[in-house]
Amino acid sequence: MREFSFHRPQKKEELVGILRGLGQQQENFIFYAGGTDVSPALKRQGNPPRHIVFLSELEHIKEIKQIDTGIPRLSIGAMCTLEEIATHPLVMEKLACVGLTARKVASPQIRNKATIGGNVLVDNRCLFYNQSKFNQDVHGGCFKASGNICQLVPSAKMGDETLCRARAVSDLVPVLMVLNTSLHVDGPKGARTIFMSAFYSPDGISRNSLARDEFLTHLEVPLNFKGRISYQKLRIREAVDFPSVGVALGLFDESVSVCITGVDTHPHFWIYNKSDFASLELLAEKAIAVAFKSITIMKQDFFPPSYRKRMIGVYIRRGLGLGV
Amino acid sequence: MTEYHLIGKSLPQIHAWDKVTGQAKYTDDLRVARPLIIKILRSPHASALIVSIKVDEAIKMPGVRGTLIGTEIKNTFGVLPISKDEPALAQTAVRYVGEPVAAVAAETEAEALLALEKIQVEYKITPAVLTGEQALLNTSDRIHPELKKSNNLHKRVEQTFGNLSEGFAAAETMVEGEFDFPSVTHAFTEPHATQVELDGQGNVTLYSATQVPHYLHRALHEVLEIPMHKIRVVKPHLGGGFGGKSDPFPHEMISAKLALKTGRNTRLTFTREEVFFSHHGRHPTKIKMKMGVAKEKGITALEGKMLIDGGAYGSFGVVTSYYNGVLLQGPYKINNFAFECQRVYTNKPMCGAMRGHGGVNPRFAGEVLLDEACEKLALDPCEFRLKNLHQANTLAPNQFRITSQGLSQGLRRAMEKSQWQQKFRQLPFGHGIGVACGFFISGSALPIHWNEMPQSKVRLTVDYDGGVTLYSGASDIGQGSDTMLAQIAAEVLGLPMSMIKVISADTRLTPIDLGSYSSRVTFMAGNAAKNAAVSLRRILTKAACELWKIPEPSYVDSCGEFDFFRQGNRPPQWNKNFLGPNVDYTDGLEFRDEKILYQKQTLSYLEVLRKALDHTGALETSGIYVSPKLGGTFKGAGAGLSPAYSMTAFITELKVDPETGFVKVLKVTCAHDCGRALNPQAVEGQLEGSIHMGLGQALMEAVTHHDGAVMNANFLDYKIPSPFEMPEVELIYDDSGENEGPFGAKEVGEGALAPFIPSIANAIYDAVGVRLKTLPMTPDKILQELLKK
Amino acid sequence: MELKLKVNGVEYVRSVDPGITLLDYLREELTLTGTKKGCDLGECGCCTVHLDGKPILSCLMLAVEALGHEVTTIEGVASGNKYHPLQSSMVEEGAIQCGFCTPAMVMNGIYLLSKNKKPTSLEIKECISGTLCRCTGYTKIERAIARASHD
Repeated sequence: MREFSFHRPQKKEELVGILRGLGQQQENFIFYAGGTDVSPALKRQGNPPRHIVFLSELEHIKEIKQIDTGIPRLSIGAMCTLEEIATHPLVMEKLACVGLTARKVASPQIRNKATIGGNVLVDNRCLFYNQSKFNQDVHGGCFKASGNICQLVPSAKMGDETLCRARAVSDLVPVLMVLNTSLHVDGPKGARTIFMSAFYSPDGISRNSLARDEFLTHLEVPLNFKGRISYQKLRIREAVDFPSVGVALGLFDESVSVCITGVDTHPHFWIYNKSDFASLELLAEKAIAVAFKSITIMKQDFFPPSYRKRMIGVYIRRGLGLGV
Repeated sequence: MTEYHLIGKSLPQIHAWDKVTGQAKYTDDLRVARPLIIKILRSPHASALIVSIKVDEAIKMPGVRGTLIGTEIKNTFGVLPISKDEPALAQTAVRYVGEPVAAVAAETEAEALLALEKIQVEYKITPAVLTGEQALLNTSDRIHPELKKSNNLHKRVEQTFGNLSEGFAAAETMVEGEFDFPSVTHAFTEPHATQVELDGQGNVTLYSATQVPHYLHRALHEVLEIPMHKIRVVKPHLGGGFGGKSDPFPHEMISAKLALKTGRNTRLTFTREEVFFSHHGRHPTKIKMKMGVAKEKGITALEGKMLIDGGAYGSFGVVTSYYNGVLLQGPYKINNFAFECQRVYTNKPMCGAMRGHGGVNPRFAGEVLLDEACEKLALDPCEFRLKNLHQANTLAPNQFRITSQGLSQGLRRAMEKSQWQQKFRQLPFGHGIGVACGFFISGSALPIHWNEMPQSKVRLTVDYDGGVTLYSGASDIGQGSDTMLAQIAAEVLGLPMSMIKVISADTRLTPIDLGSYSSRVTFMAGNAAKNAAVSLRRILTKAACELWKIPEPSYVDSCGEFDFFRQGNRPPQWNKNFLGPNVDYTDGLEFRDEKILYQKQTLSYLEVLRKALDHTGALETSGIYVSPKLGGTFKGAGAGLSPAYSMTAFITELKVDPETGFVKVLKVTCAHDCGRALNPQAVEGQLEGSIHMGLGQALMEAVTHHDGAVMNANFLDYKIPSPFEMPEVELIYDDSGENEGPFGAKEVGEGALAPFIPSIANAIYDAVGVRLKTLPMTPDKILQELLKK
Repeated sequence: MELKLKVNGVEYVRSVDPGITLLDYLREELTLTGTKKGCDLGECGCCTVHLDGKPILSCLMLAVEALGHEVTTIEGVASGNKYHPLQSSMVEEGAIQCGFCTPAMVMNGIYLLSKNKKPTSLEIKECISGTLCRCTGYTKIERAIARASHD
């Protein structure tokens, strides 16, 4: 029998109090938002954390509203479901690409429960990790599964900057990054703001700079941009599948932003000033070359690495309106 | 053309309302009293000796009532009498990752899982043989040393007809290729499940998600060593089979044994991962095929060499080996023909029967090579096929007796509907159209267990309340066989479907039907049902005539009054109980709408029934089906022999994105000769399902392994198409005048899958000039070929 | 722990493991076996039920999450012998073969029809795209949903 303790805070102060307490007792816990990412992981673990901290009843964490003081921006509560985001009039009007991208995630049933907070924090995936415990152990386990080897890179060792090669798979992250989104988190040590572009780290286990006892309250997406945002997702089926490659492009007046996911341990993000290039064609060439050089693609997905690499180039060109 | 009141009409399944309200009970929905939950400990190694197994710590765990290891259940089993090589629990060695090694029965699932962790198995890892080629070459690591072979060959079959070298000499062009196919798996949504119920007399009832209750019944008897009459096998509603539930399984043996050992009922349901470990899917296959083609002479020679990777045990593999070659003897005339197929053992989950069986991969090879040959000779591939099809009522070189043949008309109609003439080789780059044809059995004329029993028997009983109970061993696995049986009985008796109550797949109650595999059920059980219904109709006719005070009609129990191609001088030998196929039962009376009519007189069915009950009480009739004696006398002549063959033509139109290699199948025109479509909606359902499964195998499905372990043992990584991938579908299934199937029906469950896949390959070639000889034809492979150009 | 949930309009109290999924609560505690367990990992969609009227995957949900909410299963769709038009159209269109995905297809379909009187073909495909079917190729299921939207 799995002994769980459930916590269902309604106020932020309550949650912070719970987290302080758990921290002091050195108790293992997980945050539980929509549960669609956490749930399969909980089932797999031999020793799941004892404490589950539900975020679903927290007030002020499910709102979508426009803030006009300072830079106009859309504030999206971390507990908004993907379905809510895909259909919200404000999102459809001001950030259509975010809504359209939300609609490309998983399946309708999952979108009815999965949250944007959960999506930007979704766990990284790997062929050897996303298995039952039995099948993980058949190959000798891996670092991410509390083992002591990386099945993809056997030479990886503790202390490496990239210990684990599990890849980032959020569809919304690249789109939000290209939009200069900031993440607002809170916790026992107080609230802070982090730009998404500085949030993710190159290890498939630690993944980002969120502390263990911090939680996301909302995202803020600036609305003062002029341009077109697009997201292209590589997957063999037009439903259910995670991105094998995901490329978000922001074509702005002065610059082009590129964010690539699905292929490395973290999303890669670049901004190119149009004025640095004689043509869009040359900008594309540079962006592709940089991407190819920076991104390590492992054999851990339905499509082979060489194909995914090629598709990065195809998507960048297509996103910029260039032929291939 | 007779007007039937139910035959030829689209009818919903008789169980549809139960299913759409959630009331239908599948095996895991059953609730036997106080069951022990069984969990299985599985091998983490592809190949190892078992040095020791200790269960004493597990037995002490809370809630545990029993454990089981291999030495307690030694007899091996298998669906084919000639390869009963599988143990319920591994005994001295494990042969694949996931093989059952021990089992625990406990009060709750959680307790069973905790107890599993306490079982201590000591393994000595041995070298694993993981590919077909390795298996042939490897003489030191033998997976089944008891077979006393020098390597890991399980079975080698070969057949030759005509003169191959003359055939190739007569060719105007030769095409050849090497083809490589991975394994694909059934991927039904209902996991395997078994529940066992005991009574006070030592009788065991096993409820299981099985396509083959009779074979399971036999296997349980052999493994448990208790008399067959003490075992009852029942199939509840079943959530998809496709060949993945058509063997007796270790978990079924384990469930029964643990029930007997503990004296308690048991319950076992697979996790999705266990379904993948169980597998029994399509064999990974390597084919070398060579074809000679000439404009006028047609296919002058065909030679195929196949290597199929059978995994750890035999399953249906010997049959698969034969089907890899024999089914290529249709739908075209090929006089000079040879094939050799070798099946090997490897240390992976075993392969078995999967929709279309061993005929699917060779069909791909043959249809793609034919497309190549037609191109080289500048022949239209549809016209060439039309010219070279077997005609109706002929014998193929391998003595397959081809009776009705609706492919000629089907292909012509498909050409017209798809605008083939206007499109073939005329669409812009990136847009293409392709054709392929197939051929399949309506059940095997020779049963697996050679005996004189009928291949299907159906019993009907009716008593005072007028409802006709139909008993059949046939397994409704979702294809609607219960509905088909009811439809046939209702048609003959002039009753509504609601008055036929079907009881099926229960070895205590229903007469044997061999099971739902090889597309035999409509043809065989349907014929048996028809014969039983005709017998019942005659009893009612007699009673009606007595009420009308007129003489009974005289019946002609004939088997000679139909179009039947005689094989040399040998007339068909009929079992004297068999009324003969499509016997003319219209005896001058009309049975419809619960009435019996003769000339201007009408009686109600109930009136007549109750007259018939005088002196005898409840009425009982039965009907059987036995295949005619067919086939040649050479080795393997029985493989693929069928009383009737289905044939299919596919014309597929698609687009290929030349920048990404992605294929979008736009429109599929499918002409399938199933004789007469008894229930059009059900026929369409099978064709649409075949299209979905073929699309998956063609474009995205493959079981992947790493060191022998299945890596995509889940529905996220094993990709079956979503609704977005499905094309527009146009289905043609015109009547082809079949005489022996019940009301003229032939199969539709399996035949259509195979040719769809090469029609996609041929359309890809038309679109972008790329010919792939491997599956799945994923975007990366297509793009790689495109970039080479 | 004692867990009180409202399912199909009725309140139930059961003593359960805290970690029990909603799917297991329905199937094992309440014997509402119409909702199916196809994979238990949220990848096949056969466990679809409504939570406050919206389709979700019950295998990915802890039963405790449903506290204070309304769960509707396939057993709660018809009332007495008054069936939802989609149930009738699924039967009549031949959209049911093995039937294992059928309850989930119904739960997805009735939700779409409740908010969209004239779904397009793509919207219908999207609404069922989270539930796998291996028998029908989806064709007749889509047709049944379209037909029910006209009724």
